[in-house]
Amino acid sequence: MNEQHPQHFLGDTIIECRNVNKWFGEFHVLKDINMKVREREVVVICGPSGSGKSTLIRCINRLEQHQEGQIIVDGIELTNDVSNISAIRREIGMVFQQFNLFPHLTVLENITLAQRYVRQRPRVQAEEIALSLLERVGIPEQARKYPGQLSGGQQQRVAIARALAMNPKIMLFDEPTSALDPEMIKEVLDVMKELARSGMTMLCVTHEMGFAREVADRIIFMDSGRIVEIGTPEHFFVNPRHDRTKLFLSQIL
Amino acid sequence: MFVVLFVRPDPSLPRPVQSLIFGAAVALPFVAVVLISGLRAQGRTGIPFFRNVVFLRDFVQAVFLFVIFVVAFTLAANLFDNLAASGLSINFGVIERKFGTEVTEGPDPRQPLEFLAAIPVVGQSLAQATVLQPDTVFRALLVGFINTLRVVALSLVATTVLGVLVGIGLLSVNWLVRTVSAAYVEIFRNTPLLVQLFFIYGGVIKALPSRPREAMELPGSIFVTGRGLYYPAVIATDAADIFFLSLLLGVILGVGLWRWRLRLNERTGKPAYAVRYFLLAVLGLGGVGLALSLLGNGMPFVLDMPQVGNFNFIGGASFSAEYLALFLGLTLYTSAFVADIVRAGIQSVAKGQIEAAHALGLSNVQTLSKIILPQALRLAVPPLTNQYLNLTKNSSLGIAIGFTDIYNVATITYNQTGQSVALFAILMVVYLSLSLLISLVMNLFNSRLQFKTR
Amino acid sequence: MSDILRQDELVYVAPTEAPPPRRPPALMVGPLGWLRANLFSSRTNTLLTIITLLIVGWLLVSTGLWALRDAEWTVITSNLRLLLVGQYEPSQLWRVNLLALALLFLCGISISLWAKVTRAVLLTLIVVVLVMIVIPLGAGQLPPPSIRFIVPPDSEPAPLVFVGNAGEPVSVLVEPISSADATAASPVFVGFIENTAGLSNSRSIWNDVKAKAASGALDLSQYDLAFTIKLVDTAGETIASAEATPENPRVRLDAALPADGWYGVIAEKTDGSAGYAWVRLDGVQTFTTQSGDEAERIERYGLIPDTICPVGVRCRQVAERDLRFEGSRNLATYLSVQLVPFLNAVILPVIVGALIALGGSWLGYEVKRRNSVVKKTVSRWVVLAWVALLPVSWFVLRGIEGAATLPVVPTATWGGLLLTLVLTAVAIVLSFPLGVLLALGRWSNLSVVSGACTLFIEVVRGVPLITILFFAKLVVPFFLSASADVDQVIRMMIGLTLFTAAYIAEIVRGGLQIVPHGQIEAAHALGLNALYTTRLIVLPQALRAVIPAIMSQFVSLFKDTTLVSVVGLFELLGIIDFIVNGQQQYRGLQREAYLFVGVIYFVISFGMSTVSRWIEATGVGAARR
Repeated sequence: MNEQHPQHFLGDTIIECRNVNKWFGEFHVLKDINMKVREREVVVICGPSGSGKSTLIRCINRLEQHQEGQIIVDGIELTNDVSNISAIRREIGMVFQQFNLFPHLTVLENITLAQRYVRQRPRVQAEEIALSLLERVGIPEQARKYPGQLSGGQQQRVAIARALAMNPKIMLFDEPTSALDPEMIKEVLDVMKELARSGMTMLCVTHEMGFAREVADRIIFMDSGRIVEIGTPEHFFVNPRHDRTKLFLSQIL
Repeated sequence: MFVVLFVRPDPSLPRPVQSLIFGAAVALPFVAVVLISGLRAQGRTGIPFFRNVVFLRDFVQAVFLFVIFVVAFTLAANLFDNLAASGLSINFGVIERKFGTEVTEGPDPRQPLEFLAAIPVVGQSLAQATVLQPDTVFRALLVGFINTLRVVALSLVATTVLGVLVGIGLLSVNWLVRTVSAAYVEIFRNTPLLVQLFFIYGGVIKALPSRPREAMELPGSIFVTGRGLYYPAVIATDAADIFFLSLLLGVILGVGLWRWRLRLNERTGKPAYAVRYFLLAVLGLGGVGLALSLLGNGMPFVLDMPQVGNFNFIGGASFSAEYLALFLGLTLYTSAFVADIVRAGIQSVAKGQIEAAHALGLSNVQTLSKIILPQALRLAVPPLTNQYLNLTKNSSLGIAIGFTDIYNVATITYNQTGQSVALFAILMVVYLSLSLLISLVMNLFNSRLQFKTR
Repeated sequence: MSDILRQDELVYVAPTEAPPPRRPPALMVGPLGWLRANLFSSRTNTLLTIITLLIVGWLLVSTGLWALRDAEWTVITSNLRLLLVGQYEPSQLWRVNLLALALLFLCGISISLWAKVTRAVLLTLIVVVLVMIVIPLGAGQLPPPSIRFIVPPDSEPAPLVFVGNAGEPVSVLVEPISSADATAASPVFVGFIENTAGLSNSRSIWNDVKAKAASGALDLSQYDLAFTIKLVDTAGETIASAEATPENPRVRLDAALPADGWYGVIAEKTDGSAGYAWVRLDGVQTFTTQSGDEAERIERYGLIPDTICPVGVRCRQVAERDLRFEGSRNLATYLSVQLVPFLNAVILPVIVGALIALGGSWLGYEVKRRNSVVKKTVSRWVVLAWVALLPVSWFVLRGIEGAATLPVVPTATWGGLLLTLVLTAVAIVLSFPLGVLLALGRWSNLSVVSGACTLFIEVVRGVPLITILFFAKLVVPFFLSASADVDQVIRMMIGLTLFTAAYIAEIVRGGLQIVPHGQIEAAHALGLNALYTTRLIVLPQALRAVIPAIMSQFVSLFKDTTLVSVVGLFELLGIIDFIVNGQQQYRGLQREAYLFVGVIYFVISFGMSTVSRWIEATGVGAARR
């Protein structure tokens, strides 16, 4: 049971990384990563730039490939097997820093595209789901517009809706608010908080410490490719134990 | 503008003075109008006319007009004088003259147009027209035009296919494929088209033995010699009617099935497999038609195989060596440019798009067709249009290897008659229309592809 | 290790000491890793690699073998002057050379002043020049290849004539027509085959011999001809002779040629028995090693005298051009016959040119090291020199009426690479301002001006270049007054200029559209009038933005100069076309000719593109101070 959120019970381990190592050429970017994420847990990964946080979560849905170690998502191991990769990607939704909406499709089409061609839903059903998600993220009126006609915050919310439309079990966030103007960060964070409260398993890379303090079950701090400290928000912010953590927190808080 | 027709400066004056008089006469009305409106404006607003912005702008245009007409008059007058002096005149009637020379490609301009007689009224009156009689220059030009179209159409298709393949190769993960593609692009881009044409025609095709007995044979009864490529011709027999009918029915059914499957996909989400159903319908009904015609009247098609004769092949159809060389040269040269355009188009699609598509679970094929290609096409269409236009214009180089396209025919006519201006005008009209047509089609395509932004 | 166990729980703290760094798995990096990632990363990739290797390998190997073994490069080496300058008056060629040297000097000094000459470039230049010196020197030590000709059983072979110089040792050997590896089906020899039966080329002779051997009419092991071999000089006097009989088939003549001139080898049969014999002539330099030109040869040695080659007899000359041969050509022969003469001919100009370029480069380097005032002055002079180069070149090449030192060389005689470069340079220089003017006209608000410019641009762009060139050739004289007889070359220049100007206008128009409208508004707000705004604000930005496109248009122009060959001028492609299709002795050598010309165009074109990319990268607008 979680102290932060007594209203939802954490489930079994849904993401597990065992001794994961990754190199870019000669550069050792992920060093002996060992961590677990449980169902309905909200985990925030933070750390200085270049610490490998984005690389780690991109490895989890195979946007990057790890060389050593095991990554296991919902019991399926991430290998070179194409069916494993597809199965894992079906369970995971991802939101990018640069939104990456498809500019030649409308907002509605962005959200229904993968539903129709990967989940094989009929168009009408896909659109219903899309519209309800747009309501959930607060911008139902933008459905027929093109991404280029929306503001940054609206685009990112559409991106979240697009990922949610696939009914993933896990949502990965790669610095979702870093490319936004300050006044739009709040609207995106609100959506993410609502998502967390509804019981979604979330793994977020972010610099938003307020968000972390409020919503996260655990915080993972990485530096130079290795995990330096894992702790609950209380422990992490109030009583950091590793020197590196203390240094980092003193710089950002 | 009527001034142009009526002003005839005194021919005894020196030419420059004549031109100045002409120009002044034409521009004078404009200057007068401009001056009057400037003065009236001055009266109204108090701005002296020579400082009035509007007046100045119009005055400059009037001066420009003056200059243009002076130059035009000089050139035109010289032209007419020299033509008269050498006994020639601009005579568009040249297209009614007898052409006389044999046209080695395409339909024979010496045959009467029999199909016209079959069309009532319009066809029959056309058949009487002087220009359409056998062996006129007009008929020859028409055949030349058909030859141009023949080589350009096939070459456009082949260039696009080859260019896309090489363009994708430029982005391949495989280093070897990438390097070979890059070498291909650099080599064929940096060598002049004419050199490539000469090499292919003189060095490769003409180097092959030209006697049918020594020809190189490819599977399927296709022969390659120094005179061309000979292949079996497909001739439709009387029994072909049923086959064609059923094929047509198959296409109609196929289109219907296609649309049904698409709607089914929307309604239920099941994969459409539209192409498979279409092919099934066409092939199925086509097969039925084939069977029916076999049972009834015999084979719907007869293959006319080229037979090896003493000096030439008997039967079969052929591509002449000139056509082959021009086709190959145009395709190889233009495809190098197209490949680079395709590469730039695909690279312009941000990498994040592909990652998002993969993160959503779209397969590689789905990502390519729904995300990458639509965006790549946007960037690629205008330069592609340019290359298509270049290809069309470059087809005129066929004259260097003896391919009787319209340019070659026009040149032969010029050599016979000396009517350079008339022929040049005809050529200009033809090429401009072709270019315009291609530009229009591509621009329509282009405007449908644009992004909408704020 | 205990730390890992604790990671199951909510909390984890890493040890203070960072773990030691580790290298990636072996198959990831290094050459093996590169291979795996780039060539063999998946099954399809591996298949692709193998197929591509096979195809490309076969292509390269077969082309290389053809180029070294079967190709006849004399069509190039014998016609070098034609290819480079056409029929430019040979006595006035010093003017072309002078200009070329001036150009090289300017290039050298410009590169030094305004760019970095990397050590790699200098090194490459030096290596290339050294190679070009060393190969002829080394190959000069190689013996000249043997000439072999057949003495057939059923006819008298015609005399074999050659040119020799005083003191050259020559030997004539008679030997049976076989070699160690030969069989009846495939006799093998090395060397040149003379045309014995009047057949059109040696491939036919060779086929003839092979056919006879295969059918049994030729017994390679039988030798039963009896004939006398004589070496005669220009006057018909026998210098040396020997008799070959069935009993004594192998004879040898050795002689040192007494004087420069024509010599002949004559075989006179003493009886008409069957069999074939080879006569091998060693020590004779082919013409390709001595001089390239038939005209030069005639000038130096005169025509073939009747005493050696009687009127009506079709004598065989040793290698007016290299004759094709079968079997393997060894590298030594190839070098000494094909490559060396070419290198000998070009080495002196190359060395001089390289020295001048290096000199200019060194000068520029010295200037750059001095203070900036000197550098600025010299830069200005160099720019002026470049600007003046074109008109000065025109007058130097063309000449001035009545001038004693610079007599007129009519442009009708210009040809080859000279003509190509002149056409390109003139068209570039003239079309650029014209194109900019047209673009500005199209862009302006005045509807008449804009309409006229648009009409011109669209019409010129809509028709093929060759139509414009023909139009220029035929119709331009009609447009000017009858007394002006315009040069063919000038007509072509007009055509090329107008065509390129239209394309440049379109490119510049794109650049004008890129300049943000706010710039013009700001300029007007500052009080600048339209002329100043255009000249100071709009044009610099527009031009800088489209420099790559303009450079690529110029490269295109360079390639398009080939079209003037269709209209009747003899630039590089036209002249090689004339040589290969027009002259009997070079018939059938299309592949070599067009390949060589193609390579030249490729090198220059690729070079121009690279330079333009370099200009683009270093930002020429800023550098032009």
